[in-house]
Amino acid sequence: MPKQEIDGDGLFNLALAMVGLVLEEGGIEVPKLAAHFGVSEKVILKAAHAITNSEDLTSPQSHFYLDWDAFEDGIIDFSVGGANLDHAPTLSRYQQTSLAIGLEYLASLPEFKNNKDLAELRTALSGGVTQRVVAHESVDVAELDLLRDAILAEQRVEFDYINQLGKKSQRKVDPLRIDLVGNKHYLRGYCLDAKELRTFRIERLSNLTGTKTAISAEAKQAAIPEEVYGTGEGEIVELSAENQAGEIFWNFPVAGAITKKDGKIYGAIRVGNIAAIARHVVRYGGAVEVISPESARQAVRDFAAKSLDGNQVSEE
Amino acid sequence: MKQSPAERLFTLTCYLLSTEIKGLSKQDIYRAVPGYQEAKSQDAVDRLFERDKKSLKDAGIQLEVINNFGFDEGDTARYRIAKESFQWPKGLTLDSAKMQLLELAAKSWNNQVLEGSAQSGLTRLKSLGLVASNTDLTPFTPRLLTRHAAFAPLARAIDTGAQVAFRYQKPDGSLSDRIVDPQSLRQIEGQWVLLAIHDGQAKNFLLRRIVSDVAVLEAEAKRLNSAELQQVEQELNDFVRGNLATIKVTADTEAQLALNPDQNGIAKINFMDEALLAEDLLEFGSDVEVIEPDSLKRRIRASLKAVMKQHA
Repeated sequence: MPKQEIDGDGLFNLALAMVGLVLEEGGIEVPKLAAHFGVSEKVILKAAHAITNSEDLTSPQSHFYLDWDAFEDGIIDFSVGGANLDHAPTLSRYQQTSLAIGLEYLASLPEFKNNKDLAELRTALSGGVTQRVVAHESVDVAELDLLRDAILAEQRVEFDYINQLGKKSQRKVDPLRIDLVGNKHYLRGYCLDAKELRTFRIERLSNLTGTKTAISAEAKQAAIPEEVYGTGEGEIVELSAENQAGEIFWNFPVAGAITKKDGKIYGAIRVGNIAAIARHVVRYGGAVEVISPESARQAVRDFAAKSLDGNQVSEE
Repeated sequence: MKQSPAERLFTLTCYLLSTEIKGLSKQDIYRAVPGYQEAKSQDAVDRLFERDKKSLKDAGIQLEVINNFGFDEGDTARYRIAKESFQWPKGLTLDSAKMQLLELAAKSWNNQVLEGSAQSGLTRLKSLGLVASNTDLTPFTPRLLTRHAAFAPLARAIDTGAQVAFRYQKPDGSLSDRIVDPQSLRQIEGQWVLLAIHDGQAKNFLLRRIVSDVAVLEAEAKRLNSAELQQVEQELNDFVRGNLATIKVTADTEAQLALNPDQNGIAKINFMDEALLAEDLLEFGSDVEVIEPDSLKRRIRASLKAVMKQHA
């Protein structure tokens, strides 16, 4: 949770969790509580106030009392007055479902295949672990492990890369982060050859080796943009897509509004290279059409024609 | 004494917990919780209480209503918090490794539909102990992609155990209206798949093929037990194992990295859905050639012809 103010329900939730934790562990310093719950110290104090401002008007006792002596030393501690609450309530079903789906997503990724802790959590929160259904793995777990270790050790890596147009190159990269978007894996890093931040599909790299070279100062200073697909420079391509192929608009920066008409989705995307759009359109087998520019239509036509040559079968 | 909404909810929870047997009447509650005394009229205080009941429910605190007379929740009703609200799932213990996984699971929502409830669930779990999270997975930034409009209503329906209705389009283009008992959402091969009971049979539906809004119905959904769920997943795995495609792959290409062919350039690929496999193969263009099955070969050829015709 970013450090920001929270709403009433959020503060109530935090108060319940905090009272449970403090009753379990004893007094805890405010900064420690803030770090643990991922909120500001101000929010921790608000939650403490919610717990102690819980007077029962029909009884001489409040539900909880704050230990003021400890509070002056920056420690949150409570003594129980009339309250009959000694730990937090369990997760709501929706909280549990949300975390369970997140865990199921992690379990679908190859790097968590044999993770025993994940299996235990899924058993506890998802009501039984079901088997992972996988047709074929597209990414090598050993490569992911090597990249992860290199990122943690802040060490450079080298690999061969094939870009989306089939062009091959050898790269030296200071690795910074691994992004998993759906089931696709991306390496975000500072490319020493291009001298800028680049995104690499991990499925397309080979002969990966780690080095003992420390990553560059440029890499350490780089701010990684959130979006894997860049921030929206490049040529505009207008598309229409049938409903079931609408996901094509999720994979590129969108230019302008997306509209729906007659059961189809219309919109424009930005692409760095017109030739690169072809494969993304062809994959939907006619459910996506390039409207303009003509050069992009031509690229799609050429890609399909070349593919058709390689897939000759006798006509029925 | 003035109380913020969070303070009022907290006091209400504590007060309701002070009775275990007979419950508390509305009047008891209004008298004891300072926040209710600020309300300007009886109507206002009743509305506030109704809103708080919903907040408690959303927070997972189940309110039991004990009716002294009749079936309706009238003024004589008494309220107490159900014991189950404080029963944590069995076998749930937290350590640094698990805390890190839970944080990743919550983070993977990445500002999408269930991010808020995943984060508030994480906060609640953190009441179990002052456990620091491991850091060996910090290089990973996982992101679920759930931009399907169907996702949120299906997750809600699974949560509340309600039937849903939607229009489904098969890869051949045929449309049908379905009423199903939703069971779970999971990601398989990069696709979100709904497991649901339809006409008494467990079936899998790809979210991207749901082409209408999802209507959440009043009717209660049947639920599969854990053994039945295992059985269904086993059957899907057997089905995937039984679907095998043989592909010729050009050496030294992206397709080779992705499909791992043998030294003769032949890859054997299992698949869940032939249309989805065709999409993945179409992206490799002329670097792949389908040897079998015939149906996949024909599908790819028909797709390429459709693209050519459309872009002629």
